[in-house]
Amino acid sequence: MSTADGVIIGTTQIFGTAPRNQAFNVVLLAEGFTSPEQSDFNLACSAFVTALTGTDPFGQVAHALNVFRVNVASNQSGADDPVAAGGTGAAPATYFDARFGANGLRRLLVCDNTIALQVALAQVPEFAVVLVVVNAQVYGGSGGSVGVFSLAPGATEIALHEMGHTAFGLADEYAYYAGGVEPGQDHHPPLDPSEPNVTTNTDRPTLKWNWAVATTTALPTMSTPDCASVDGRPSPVPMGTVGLFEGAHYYHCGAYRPEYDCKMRALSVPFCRVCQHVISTRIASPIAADVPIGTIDTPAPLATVAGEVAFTGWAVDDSGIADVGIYRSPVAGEPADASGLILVGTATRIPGARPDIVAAFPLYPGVASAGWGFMILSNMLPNGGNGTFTLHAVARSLSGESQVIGTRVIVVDNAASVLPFGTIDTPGQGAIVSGQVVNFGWALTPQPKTIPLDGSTIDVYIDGVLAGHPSYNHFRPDIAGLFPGYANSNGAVGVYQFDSTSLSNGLHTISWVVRDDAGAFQGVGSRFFSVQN
Amino acid sequence: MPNESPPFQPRPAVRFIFEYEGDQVRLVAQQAVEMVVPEASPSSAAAPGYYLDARDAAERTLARVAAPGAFRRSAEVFPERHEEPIARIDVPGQRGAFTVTLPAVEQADHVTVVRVVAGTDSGPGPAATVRAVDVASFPLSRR
Repeated sequence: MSTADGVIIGTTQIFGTAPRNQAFNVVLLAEGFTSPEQSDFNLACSAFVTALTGTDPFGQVAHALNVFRVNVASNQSGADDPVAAGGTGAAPATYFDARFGANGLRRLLVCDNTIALQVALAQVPEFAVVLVVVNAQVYGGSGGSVGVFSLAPGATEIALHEMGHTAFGLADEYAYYAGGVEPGQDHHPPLDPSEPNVTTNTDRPTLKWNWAVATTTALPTMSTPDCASVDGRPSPVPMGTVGLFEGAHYYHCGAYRPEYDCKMRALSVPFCRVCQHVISTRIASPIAADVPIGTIDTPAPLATVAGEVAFTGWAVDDSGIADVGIYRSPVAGEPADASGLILVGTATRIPGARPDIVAAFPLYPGVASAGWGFMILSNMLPNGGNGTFTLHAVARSLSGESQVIGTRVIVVDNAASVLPFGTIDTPGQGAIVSGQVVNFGWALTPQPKTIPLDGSTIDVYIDGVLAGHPSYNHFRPDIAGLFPGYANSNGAVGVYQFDSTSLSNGLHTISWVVRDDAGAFQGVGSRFFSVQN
Repeated sequence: MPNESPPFQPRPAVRFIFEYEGDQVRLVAQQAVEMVVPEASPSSAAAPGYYLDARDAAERTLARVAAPGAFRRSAEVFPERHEEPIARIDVPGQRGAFTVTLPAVEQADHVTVVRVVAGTDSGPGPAATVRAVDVASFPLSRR
């Protein structure tokens, strides 16, 4: 069973138009498909492309992605399936010698990696990833330098997870080694792993994914209560929250992952935001897109939100970005513009907020301001801010092209919210300040609760550190008119003053955390500002 | 120098394919290619793992890139029901292959597979030390 057991028919590019020497090239190799079965392989490749481009962030960087299929006709069909591992005993003569039952585990499907890499090198020397598609309906696959997966439903998930390792250097995020019952996995060794999606570091300023963590998110975000076992509790924060979740890189304690869940932790869930960022910058960075590229980073898809919602992301273009508009799809009966959308507002672009994008796209004009942010007070959306809404980020380049760089469906449920809500009005997102700074904002909480009038339960955080409390209970007619009937409707405004000369020149963050008289609390108004004294 | 180009830009490179069994490794193929390759600082290996060095005749390291998938000692086993945990099993002495793409370095004479391991004096925190051990060297073809 070897290359004598088949013949290479040829290579076909089935997705993408990017230059090979800059593109992220995926090579699919046919294994165990006879000559008459090549159409089955072609269909499997098409299905893989659909799965790949339907998995965030691959679809968003499709302009830099090529997929090739290498048709290889094996003399016989299928893969070895040893009886000793619970298989059928089949032993077909195939080109890459694929076999189930490696190490006695039937679903561990492997092949001759040397042959696979040599074929890929000969057919597409610029390959980034080699995947072997095995003509078998038994579930199985494996990873390493070559990804292997069968035609069984769900097996493409194996390939996507393994691409995370092979092509993007991502670590496993699960908190166990052999499934969770093995000893010796209590505490991670002290050395910080080099992979971008796991860490032993809990220091906010030096955290690898500091850029993705809201100042109001606690670090650690979730700690393992008993290091002798895997923490099986649900997430204490909404899905999509980036922070530090203990239990990662095969250990129960001492190592952290960015989100509660991720495809590098379990199959059939999305890649977390940090992994998506690693993938998208690696794939898209070499290629100047014809249109702006970028993403929406927050909120998470299908997140249930209330009150103020932070939309954040990044955008770049080889001519520079003119602006990023935030739009929403109209609700039934609502008029829209010619594009079919309704403009919500223009995002603020924030110099210095995304050094990771600067590193990935160093030659793009204006890349220092690639990061953008926009706060939506969801209470002002139709139906009092209740229902499912679809929002879009549209980046417009300085050369005039516009591109939807991300779409988010969010579930807004202010009716059921028991949390305070509000926003910061000044400093504006990305504002430049000097000297004494007046920080205005407002906050309300659902009835029958109230926010103490002295402002003592409103915490102002600057750079994640508690700075003080605002003077509260000031009247503003527009707030009173928009939100009548709340305990604090006629005194929702707070004001806090601080001396910016006590801060270094450069980028800082400010946010409020509001607690009502029932103890419910919520962060409102997190934003960047720049000090220039 | 190999790290003067902007990151993520295509550049002349050499792709290597290695085959291993246990601790033994052999070079199966090397081929010139122009493509996007990782950064290759001579001192880029700060974490345990396997790397490939481009070295001159005096054994000076000119470029170093990670060699993911080299000498795998474990394999992932994926559950058919995806809500169940992924597991790893040890596969000691397994035969396998890996590929590394290294920026072309004019002064390079040979490549060396390097294993970086945590030092014996490792203490808590990121200051823990590592040391590099040469595994095997192979001449560069001049085609």
